[in-house]
Amino acid sequence: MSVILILLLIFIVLFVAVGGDRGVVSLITLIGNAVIFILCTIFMSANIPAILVTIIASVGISALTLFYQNGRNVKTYSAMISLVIVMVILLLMTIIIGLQMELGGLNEIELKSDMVQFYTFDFHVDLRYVMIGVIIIGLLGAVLDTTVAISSGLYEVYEHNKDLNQKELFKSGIKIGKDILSTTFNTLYFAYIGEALMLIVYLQEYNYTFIEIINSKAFLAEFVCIIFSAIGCTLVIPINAYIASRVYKSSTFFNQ
Amino acid sequence: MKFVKYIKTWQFILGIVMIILGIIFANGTSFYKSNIGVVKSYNTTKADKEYKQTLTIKVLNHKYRGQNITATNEYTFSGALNEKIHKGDQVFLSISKSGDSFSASISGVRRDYYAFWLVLILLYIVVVMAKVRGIRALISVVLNIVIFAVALHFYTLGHDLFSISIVLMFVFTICSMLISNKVKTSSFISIISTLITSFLVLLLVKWVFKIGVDIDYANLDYITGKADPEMIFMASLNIASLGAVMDVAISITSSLFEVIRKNPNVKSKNLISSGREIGYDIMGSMTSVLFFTYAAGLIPLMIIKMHNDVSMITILHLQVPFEICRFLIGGIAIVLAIPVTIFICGIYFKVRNKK
Repeated sequence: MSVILILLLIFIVLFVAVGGDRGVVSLITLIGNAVIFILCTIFMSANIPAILVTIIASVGISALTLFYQNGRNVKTYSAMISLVIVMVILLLMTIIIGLQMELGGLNEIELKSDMVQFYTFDFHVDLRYVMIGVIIIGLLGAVLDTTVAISSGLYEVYEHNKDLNQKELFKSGIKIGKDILSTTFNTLYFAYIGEALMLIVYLQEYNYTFIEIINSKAFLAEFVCIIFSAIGCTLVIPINAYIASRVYKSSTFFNQ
Repeated sequence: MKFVKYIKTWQFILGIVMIILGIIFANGTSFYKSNIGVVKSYNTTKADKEYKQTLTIKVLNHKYRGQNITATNEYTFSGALNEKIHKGDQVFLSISKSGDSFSASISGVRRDYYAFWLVLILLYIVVVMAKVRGIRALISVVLNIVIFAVALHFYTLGHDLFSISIVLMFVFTICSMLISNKVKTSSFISIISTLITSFLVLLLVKWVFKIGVDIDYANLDYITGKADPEMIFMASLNIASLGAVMDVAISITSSLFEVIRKNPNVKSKNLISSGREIGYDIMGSMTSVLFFTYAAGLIPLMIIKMHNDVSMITILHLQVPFEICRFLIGGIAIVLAIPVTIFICGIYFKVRNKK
């Protein structure tokens, strides 16, 4: 049996054993997200505009994660509204900065591999726009995680103290956000540094200078992804605290 | 003007300082050894499938400062092997002089200042949003980067990467927990839980790699030939899921401590079910964080491969085993962290109650 198959079996068994019914729901969500991800890649490679594909995929992934995995309620509605606002801001930022940086395409290391000789690169997909998709989809999971944490945490606060006004709720939301900020940063940092470890070992062995490293596509593509994720996770805190406090205070609107 | 009222003076001053820093960095070309020029204008001609740019570049530093020179750049539509250069971009130049005329070629695009701007934006919103807590989170990240750099230094001195990664596991966990979560009992419980989970995963991975069919390391990115690829891969696995495990451990310990604080006589059965409840909530979203973090980076290569008649099935089956492995192991670590943390908390509460 291959290593991946064994790991997959262990993963599924543990997920179901520890998570029970809700583990199964999470697992189905994950499979759904993986399917959306693969479709997204296929559509991008079929030359459908990458940004459009990214937007549709992001909406699909968020809706699946929020409304299927976490259920349809005030918490997930307010998370969805905040998510849309943050993602629009981030999309504009990545389009402005990402296009200027020209991070699409093969990086210095991939250019040195055999791939360059064996493959043809004569296709009509603009990889610069694909890179914007890479950044946006890469940060979506982390931002989703943060909005869910804030929306549900703030809902608990609201449930226990119904007479708090909107401003006080907003402040609690910011406080919850601050609490999770550093663990979110850690998760992001370590998730990327595992890969960066191999990259930096490579760069060091080939005697790249510091200036070359910080200007290389290989390093910057990873770096920009981490920074955008971190910006997204920070930006979502005040936006989500505001939206959630408003939605909860007017929650008769949702018949909750 | 209602909006202006909300911006405090220190936030305004901080913003100005950040902008000045950004401008200084972007224009600080004299710190670089190589020649740097800024693209003033260009003409593009299209020949067959390639675009050819003739660029007019003003040199910004060193001997040829202020001179205008021309250079060429070629790119294709996909931008897979080369890139378009924009007006206003800074480029690294190698200039040679023959007689009165210069000839220059572009050796690369300067991109570091964009990254610097992004870092400044991040710093600004973190400090404005979370103030002291935000600064603490940033210090924790900076410290981790320093630790990482020191570890790499030991690697270049010839130490074995796998052992380094194990030491890193300890140092990273202890430092980030104590900084971001402060020095208190629940931090120590989280540290112990994180380390135990990581070691269980490490043993599991070793066992799976022993009984399973070998992965073909030829497809692993960034292979240098010098080092053992399995070793490097294992080392990267040790660190990759650490952050996520810490996140799970902190969430569960702090909630269970809160439960105990509110109701010191809670039964261990109820404690376990609270822990599991929190576990359910985070495990789905944490695994999606890992999934998208790892998967997104694969898109460009997958597109290139699909245009080279490699089918999606083959790509998933053969070409991306490392990312799948890394994701699955991360997921296993997250799920395993839940019972381990609950167990460690349980032991701690038992011991404390007996005293």
